[in-house]
Amino acid sequence: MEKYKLIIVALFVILVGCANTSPSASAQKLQPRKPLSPDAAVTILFASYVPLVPENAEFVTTMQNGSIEGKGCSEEEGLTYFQNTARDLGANFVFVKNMGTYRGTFNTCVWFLVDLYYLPGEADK
Amino acid sequence: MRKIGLLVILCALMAWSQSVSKSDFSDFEKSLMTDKPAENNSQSLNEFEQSLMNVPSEMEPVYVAREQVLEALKSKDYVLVEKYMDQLLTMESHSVIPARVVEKQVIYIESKKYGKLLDMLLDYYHNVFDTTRFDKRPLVAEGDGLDLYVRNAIESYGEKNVYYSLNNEVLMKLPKLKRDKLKILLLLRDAYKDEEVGKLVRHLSESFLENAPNDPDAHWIKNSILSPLTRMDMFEFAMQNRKEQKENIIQRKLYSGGFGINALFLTFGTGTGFDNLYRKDLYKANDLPINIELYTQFKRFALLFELVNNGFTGMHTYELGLGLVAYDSRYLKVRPYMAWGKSFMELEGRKGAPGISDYESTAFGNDDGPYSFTAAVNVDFKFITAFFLVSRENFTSFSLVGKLGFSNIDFNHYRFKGDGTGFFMNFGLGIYFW
Repeated sequence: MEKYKLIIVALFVILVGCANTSPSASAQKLQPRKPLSPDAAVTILFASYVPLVPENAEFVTTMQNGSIEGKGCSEEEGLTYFQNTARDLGANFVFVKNMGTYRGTFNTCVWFLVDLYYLPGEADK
Repeated sequence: MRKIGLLVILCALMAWSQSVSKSDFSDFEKSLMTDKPAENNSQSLNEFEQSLMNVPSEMEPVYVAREQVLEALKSKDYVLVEKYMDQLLTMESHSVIPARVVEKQVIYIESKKYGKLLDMLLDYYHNVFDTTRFDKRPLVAEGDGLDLYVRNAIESYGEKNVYYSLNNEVLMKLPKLKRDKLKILLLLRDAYKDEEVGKLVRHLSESFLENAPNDPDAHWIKNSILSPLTRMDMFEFAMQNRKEQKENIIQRKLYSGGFGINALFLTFGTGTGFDNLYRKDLYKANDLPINIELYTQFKRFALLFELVNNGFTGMHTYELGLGLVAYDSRYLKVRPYMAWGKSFMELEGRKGAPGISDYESTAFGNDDGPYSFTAAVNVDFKFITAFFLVSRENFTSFSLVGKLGFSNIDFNHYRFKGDGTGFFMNFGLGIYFW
């Protein structure tokens, strides 16, 4: 009977050995962009002024700040928050699509809905 | 007589002063009374003359040409308007803007030159980010009759988008694609000011791209106009985003772990050592209708509990095991494992067989014997992988499951006796949350 057990274990080892190949090399990994330097210029554009983005703008993400702490309450704080976040995410163009107000802890705050983009030409300027 | 005459004049004056109190004037009329550029106001005329005197010499022909356009507009000679506009626009240079975009727009709308209007809007929006087109402080023509004419026209369009002021008959003469493009570009101005207009521009752009995917402006409309408009709602964006990122997230989450249930229905098998397992004249073996495997996976390792058929009718094992995810991909997962447990036979006494009282199908096990040992490989073909509800990270996979393996079983029961190895294949369906 020991013979059978040996055979089974041997087969099992062979099977594991055969099947245990590395996952497909073509697997696409999520490639986050390289953060920009903290002093990189980040342009802010309000969609109500110019309602479109440059054709070569590379989309990074859409964001909305709101009642979460640290995302800014005043208009200026909010825009600064997005500028900093844009740099962290490797974007240099903030397209402000919508804004409004909400009731903060102590005062009325401003929220923004923005798209972050990377403009290839801008970084070289 | 004189007194009566005076009274009449006084009354008339009072009546007049009442009827023409300032509030009865329209906004436009009021603006004429207070604002400077009105022509019947001698003081502002002087200012206007002064401003003309201050005009740099290169702007003089521009103002002359603008006057020509204005005259043609007033006389409704639209062929002439087009001609003079063309002349005026040739004066554009790095340092001179002879007519602003809003002026061009109004002039082409008033003269019903919608083709020209479209060309102008395309040119404007295509180059809106071109910072090299004009100097830092270009000379702009303003404050003349044409300027006033344009202001009045804009006021007359009212609150609604200027698109709705277009003449429908003339508009219908444009080819459909141009018409669609014009509508998109005119409405675009309000796309981010009014949610409904934004949705409209989005739908118009989508159907334009569907109708004319090869239009030279298609890529531009898609990237510059449509793409930001498709992400106006954070939840919708998240859903859209996970859809786009699905394959990436799947690739990232391979070998990550989860929880699965497999139900196995079909069994094939053979083996050695079980030739005379039980008295076939006394008993009849039955398969359980369904076998089940539950497993949790941590990274590459899996813990499992299962009930499998070992390849012979009626022969089953329930066991605990340890597995290793040897290969994981978009569709295929291979998971070899080893398990230890107890085996049993599902037997039914044959009716009328000697010495057998009639009992129902009952399980008899190798309770006293050693543990059965199984080595098998589980192959999942994940034919559907979908996001779990609204999760952005977790999936539900449905799979066809194949189980292939050997079991070493030692039966030592008074009804059946045998020590052997069964080779089995089980097939079924699985669901996996990961």
